[in-house]
Amino acid sequence: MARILIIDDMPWVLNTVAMMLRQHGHQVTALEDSQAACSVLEDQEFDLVLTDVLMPDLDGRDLIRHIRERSDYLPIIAMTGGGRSISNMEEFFMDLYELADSVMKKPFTIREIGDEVGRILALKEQGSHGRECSGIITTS
Amino acid sequence: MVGLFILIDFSAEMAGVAFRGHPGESQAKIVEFLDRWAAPIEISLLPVIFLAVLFIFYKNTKQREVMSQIYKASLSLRRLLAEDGPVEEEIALQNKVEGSFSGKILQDLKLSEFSFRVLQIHKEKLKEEMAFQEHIMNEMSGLVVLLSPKGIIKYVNKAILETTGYKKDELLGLNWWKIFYPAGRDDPEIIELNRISDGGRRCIRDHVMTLRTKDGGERKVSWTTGNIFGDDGQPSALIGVGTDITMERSRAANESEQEKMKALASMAGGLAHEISNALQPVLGMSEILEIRLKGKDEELEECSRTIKRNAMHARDIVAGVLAFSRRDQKKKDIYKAADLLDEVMEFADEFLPMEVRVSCFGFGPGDISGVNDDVYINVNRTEMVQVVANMFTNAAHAMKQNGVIEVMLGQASVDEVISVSTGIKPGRYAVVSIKDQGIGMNDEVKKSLFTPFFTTKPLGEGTGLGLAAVYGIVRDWGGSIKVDSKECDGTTFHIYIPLVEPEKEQIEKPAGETMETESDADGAHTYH
Repeated sequence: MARILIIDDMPWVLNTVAMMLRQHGHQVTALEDSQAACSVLEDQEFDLVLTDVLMPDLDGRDLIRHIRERSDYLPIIAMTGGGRSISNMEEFFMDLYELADSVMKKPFTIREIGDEVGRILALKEQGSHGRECSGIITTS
Repeated sequence: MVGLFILIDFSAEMAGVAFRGHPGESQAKIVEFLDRWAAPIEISLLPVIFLAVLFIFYKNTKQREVMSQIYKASLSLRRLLAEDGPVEEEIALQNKVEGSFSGKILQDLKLSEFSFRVLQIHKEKLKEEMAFQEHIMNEMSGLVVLLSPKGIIKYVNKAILETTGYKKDELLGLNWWKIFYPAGRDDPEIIELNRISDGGRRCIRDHVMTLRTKDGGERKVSWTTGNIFGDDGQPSALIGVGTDITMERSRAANESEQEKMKALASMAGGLAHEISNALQPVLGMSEILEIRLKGKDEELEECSRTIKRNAMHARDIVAGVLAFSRRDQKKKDIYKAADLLDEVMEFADEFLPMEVRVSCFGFGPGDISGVNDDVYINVNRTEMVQVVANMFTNAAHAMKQNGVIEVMLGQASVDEVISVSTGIKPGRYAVVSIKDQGIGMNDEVKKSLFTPFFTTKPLGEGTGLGLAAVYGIVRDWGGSIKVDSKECDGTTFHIYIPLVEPEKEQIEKPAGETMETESDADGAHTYH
């Protein structure tokens, strides 16, 4: 069982992913607001963060940067729906691959998210970083 | 005065002729003869004088001597005729006569010589001019043709020969329209030409027509014509000046195609993103339902499974659209092209039925040439598998699941010209060519090949996203795909991938051990 923080601005996605992770027995905190997530992260301790990347106000990339500035050891999985038309998309994704431990493409199954969370947590246990082991997950 | 001199000249000539007929007569007799007959002779022999003048005008060198005698005789005769006149006058007259007559001969001669020289100069100038014109005609990029009113080719410049692939003697004297528009009046372009030129009565300006080359190709030429009129005021020839705009058309078509694909990708990407997010609750909740309903309500459990199956199917479609739209940027790494391709073959091979064999050239354990040793590309490995697997699936389908697929790794330089038609940057590229022995494609199919949801497979067998995804992936690598295909004659896909510099450790790393694999005698490595 791990303490997981989920951030997604779409409530139905947020609820679903939270339920999916609870199905694996994880303790989940779900937040729609990425700004609020920053303050929650100050007060509470988590084993893993699962965040959407395209969000209003503070997008996933900035949130991950914010977390990385404080902790280099908190594992992060970025969730992406494929990306709307954004400027510098290539740079955006390159940053994500660089900053996050894994990038997961939505929609994913309960098994896929469970396996990936398990893999990243195992890497943390071993003391190595998911990023160094390349955590690109393809759902095809 | 001039008239008088001419008359004297004429009579002198006549007398000269008469003198030559009586060389032995004495001077006295001549004086007497002349006193009596000078005036009548002068008048009656005018026609002869006239002929003599003509004679002078059309003389040759030999005649010059004769004329000289005529001149001398005429001087004597004139002296006799003017016996009563003052000496000064006579001298003046003589001078005048000499001046006019001998001068005339000399002038004529000089004129002839001068004319000849002028002619020579003109001839040389004309030759020079023609050479200059010929040079311009042949060096100019424009196409120039001269046709008789009936369409017989009188002149073609080098650009025409180069554009059409014909030799000069294959065109000159033949009918332009019959060669290039064999369908004649039924050809839609001829119908249109006749309409705008009012059946050839009006000249055309910047009118685009297709020029069929000798090898069966097509060039788009923008023509402007003009008539050359004969003395009778009727057109004696038609001069056509054309510009080959095939490249511009191709560039415009390519740009428009790129724009279309870009717009399509933008729309598809946006849509796919929204659907991906919408699918997450559908897929996730259906699974939760399935778990919660397990053993409680079989019917509802099956319902949730159906929802999940369809959500998974939708996810596959969205993945294809996202790949096409290049919205799911994958992490790229630098690979040695030959090694990566060899590795990818093992995966892609699984997509083929047993009856389909794959022969590889330029890479793989069977290749000892080493020509592609320095070829490095920056791609995503999973995507490379996806690209090759898609190509293999299509090739096998085109070959009715039986035959040989040839995979070749090569290199190519993309210059400005190719860059225009492919839309990729000039530079060095690795080229992965995948050739099948299948049914080939017609132009219609080729045109829509990479458009999402376009498929030639029966309904339900293909999503039409395979090649669209391949297109998006390869464009994301900075590359392009060229297709060579003819109906019933197989298809070759050439995948252009930009060459990159290897990473430092890749240069330092010694060449990897190659697997023990069966190799063909010709150096091709065969899978299966």
